[in-house]
Amino acid sequence: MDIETVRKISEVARLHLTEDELEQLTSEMDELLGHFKSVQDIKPSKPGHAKESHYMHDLKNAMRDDSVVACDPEQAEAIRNEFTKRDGRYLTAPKSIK
Amino acid sequence: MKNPTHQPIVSAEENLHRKLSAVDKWDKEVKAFIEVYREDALKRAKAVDNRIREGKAGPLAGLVVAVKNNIAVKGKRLTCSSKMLETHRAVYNAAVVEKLIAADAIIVGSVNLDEFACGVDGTYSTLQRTKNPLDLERVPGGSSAGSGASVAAGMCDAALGSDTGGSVRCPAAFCNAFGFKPTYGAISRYGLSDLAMSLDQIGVISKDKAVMKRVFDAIRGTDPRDQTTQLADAMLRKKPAEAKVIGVPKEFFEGVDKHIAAGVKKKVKELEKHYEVREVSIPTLKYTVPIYQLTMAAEFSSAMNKYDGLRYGFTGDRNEELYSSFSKARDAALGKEIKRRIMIGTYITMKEFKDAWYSQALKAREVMKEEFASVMKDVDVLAGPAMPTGPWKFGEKMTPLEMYAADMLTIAANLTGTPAIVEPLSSDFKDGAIQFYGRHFEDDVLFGIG
Amino acid sequence: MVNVIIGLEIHVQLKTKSKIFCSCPTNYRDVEPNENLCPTCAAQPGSKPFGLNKTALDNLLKIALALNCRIRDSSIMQRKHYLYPDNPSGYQRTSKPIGAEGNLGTIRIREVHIEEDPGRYELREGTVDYNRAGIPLIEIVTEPDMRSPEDAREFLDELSAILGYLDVARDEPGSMRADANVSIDGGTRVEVKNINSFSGVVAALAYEIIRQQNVVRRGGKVIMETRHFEEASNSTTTLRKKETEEDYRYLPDPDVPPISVNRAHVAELGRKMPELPRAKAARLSKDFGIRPEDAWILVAEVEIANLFERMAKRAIPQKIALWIRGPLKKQLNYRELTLKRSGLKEEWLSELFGMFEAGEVSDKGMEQTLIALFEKKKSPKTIATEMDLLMTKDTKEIGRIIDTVVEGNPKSIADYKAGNEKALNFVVGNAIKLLKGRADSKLVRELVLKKIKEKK
Repeated sequence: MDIETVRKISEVARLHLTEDELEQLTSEMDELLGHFKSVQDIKPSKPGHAKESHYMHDLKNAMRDDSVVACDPEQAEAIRNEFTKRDGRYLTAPKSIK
Repeated sequence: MKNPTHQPIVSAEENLHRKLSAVDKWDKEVKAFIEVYREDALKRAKAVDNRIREGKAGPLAGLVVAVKNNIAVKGKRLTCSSKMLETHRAVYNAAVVEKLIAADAIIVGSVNLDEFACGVDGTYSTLQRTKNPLDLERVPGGSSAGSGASVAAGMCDAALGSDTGGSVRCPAAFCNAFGFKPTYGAISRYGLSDLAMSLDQIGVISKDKAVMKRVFDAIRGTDPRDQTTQLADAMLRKKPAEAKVIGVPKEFFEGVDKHIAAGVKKKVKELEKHYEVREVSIPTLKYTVPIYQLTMAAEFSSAMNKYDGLRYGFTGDRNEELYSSFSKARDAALGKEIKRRIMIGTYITMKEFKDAWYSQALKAREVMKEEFASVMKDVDVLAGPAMPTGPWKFGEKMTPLEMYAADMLTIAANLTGTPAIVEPLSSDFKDGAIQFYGRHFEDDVLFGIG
Repeated sequence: MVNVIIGLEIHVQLKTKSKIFCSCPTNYRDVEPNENLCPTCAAQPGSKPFGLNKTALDNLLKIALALNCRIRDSSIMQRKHYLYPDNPSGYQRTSKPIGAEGNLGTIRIREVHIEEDPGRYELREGTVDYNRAGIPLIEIVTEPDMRSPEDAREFLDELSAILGYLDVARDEPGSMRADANVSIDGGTRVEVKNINSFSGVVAALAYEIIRQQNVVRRGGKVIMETRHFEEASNSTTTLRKKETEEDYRYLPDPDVPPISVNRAHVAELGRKMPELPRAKAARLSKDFGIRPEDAWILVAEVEIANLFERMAKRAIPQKIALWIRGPLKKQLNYRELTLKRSGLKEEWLSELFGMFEAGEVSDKGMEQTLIALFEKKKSPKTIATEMDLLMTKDTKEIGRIIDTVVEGNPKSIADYKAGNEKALNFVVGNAIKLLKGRADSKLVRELVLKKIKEKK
């Protein structure tokens, strides 16, 4: 784990880290991942049939009928009230084209 | 502070007053509660008493319940103990909260947790430090720190927590209470803030096993708003046989404090009177911490993507360009442990690194599931200690790795989706607690052991 | 001659009452901003996706079948991670392919899958509206088989027709968005995003091809980038230069159990499929003996094809075909209306065509009646009568007016007899004017000539 890789990770993760934080994380991640590396040693029960665990209990087909439940205007208002910056009913984010 | 003994509920109001007295007496010190819903609870208690008199009372009538503050209670603060959600109020009720209300329980307030449920002793909360009521110099366990502490201090009859790697069972054990994590999908997660979607389950803590069962029965079941609960109704309705054979994995005793190991083995010996007890081995248990840490981090990094600084009151700089506005807001509002997990989760799922890390973790998890399924063909439950140590003192330096290792006995239940129950070995928390794992959807079996 | 390679990724909103993973209404264009919200589509802490909208999936399967896709046995929802203001959860739920290896004519379809629409983010204002977040979309990915903007236009025209026939996609402004990938002479592939109409695709491609050619001509290299289509100027601009592609860190969504496709159900959907444009065009051409190119135009909209078929039972098909693709389509196109939306009833159109064929109205009269039909929406016979457009049948009146005109223009008659054709046109024109265009021009000309001959 080197600091440049950690810097790249922080960009993908959208975390603005200082140089100090990057350095500290580099050594922390290095240590932690060094311990976690052992997962790579686990052999599948049937050789060549390594299956990845994605879901539990053979769940499938979570389907829903296409029916409408009217939105609660008070709830929508509560959601709007928590927009950090607003313009009327809109949320405002930084502009992309100046 | 002595363990409060269980007293029968005479009336909802009386019970609530007793619990609120405990809050008033102890919570300045213990700091389990983030918000006490005093007025609402009193109003509800009056209403519930009316329903009791009319003979219309629900199955949890008058029971006082505290709710971990990562479970949505409409109109109340939902902080997840994070700066990011410091001012956030839930706009809806979680499914379990709806069910508690429908069952006539009294929700007395929200209780503290590690930030976004990431922690093992409660110290990662950004709001307050919860103490163990049984020894105020020690941690109450985490991440459902307030759930364990409020139960131990008699501030509620039961508390809801969330359990991703042991976060209900750890505080239960440390606070000398019963703790229960159901089969994955038995209780709806609608309204539970995500840590790791395939590992999280809502659980219950109580000093009374029967009360814990009643609460579980009231909040479980299929919910169309959480599709992972599809099977809950059908499966939980099946009448399981009682447990006859107890398996004891030898791996469950590695790295455990001697006196706790001894206490658990003694308890198992007692159980031999009524059950066949066998030693078993589950080799992947050796890898349980890495498999969990990688799986959990990947899913957590996904769950945290919704926190971009545009909502929930935590502001980034609006004049910044988009990318830096996101990055700065997230950095400022999320704690160190959160960022660490996001970084690891991001790393192991990036294109270049995914095969070596995330894929491997998923394959390892599958192997663990297969091993468990194979072992559980011949035994009905597994037994072992709940936690490898008792609660440590505040200030005892623990590295992240040491913290993560504390989960090692509880994690496998989340990785495999099996139900697990934790029971104190005695009335002294220092003696530790025993833990039983069951088969999928045989949750009821666990309540009947011993 | 430049070698162009074009591939398209088309997103179309599926027609449903509720959103893909929650029960909020889908009428996002008709309500105030940030109105159709619930904890799920607003990605509130603790919210979860409800079950996948059955109708959305069925609508997608119908499109996949119409595109000759092989339907996969199972699929899963994945999370595609990126932070952007229109995306409240910080990831987009998008499925793995549900249909694959299909085709539309000669253009191969790589795959189709389902995904959720994000909200709307105005890049210039910075305003965000989450109403649209959670509308179900089908994404259709083609192989890079197109070789020109015209190829793309043809492809999109047929796709548009198919969607109209199936009636499973929304057809409002913004319901269709496309990303185009284009490269020239085996060079770097450029992606163009933010195209919100089929015509925009063609314009974007045309612009890009020229732009890339200019870059090369100036000695430069086309860089791999994502460009943004500007509708106002029909041009593309750089959005953000990327050295590497964005890493979306696709993960299976643990909250949504896998989709397992029911073979019997798919077969049932296949059986209930309507006759599609290509097949219909072939059949109309064969059964009614009309030209293939006319048939192709008629089948672009199923209501028009149906109109033709019903009318063709009672009159000469080729004539009807020409009338529909000519005067009728001209008026519809001018108003940017489909026949369906025009409100024009078949009985009126049939009546008008019959009147035209029978000579009851002139060319011009027919056109004027048709134009009025859009507003007045009643029997064309009534309209033509009210507007005094019916051809006069009164031979006496015609004869009288021709006499008047011939008598009144002796010089023109003399000029004509001297060999000046234009003089005759003048006289005939006068007669037609006096008859207010209500007499067949050929007949009037004949009668004028006859009268002139009589006058010796």
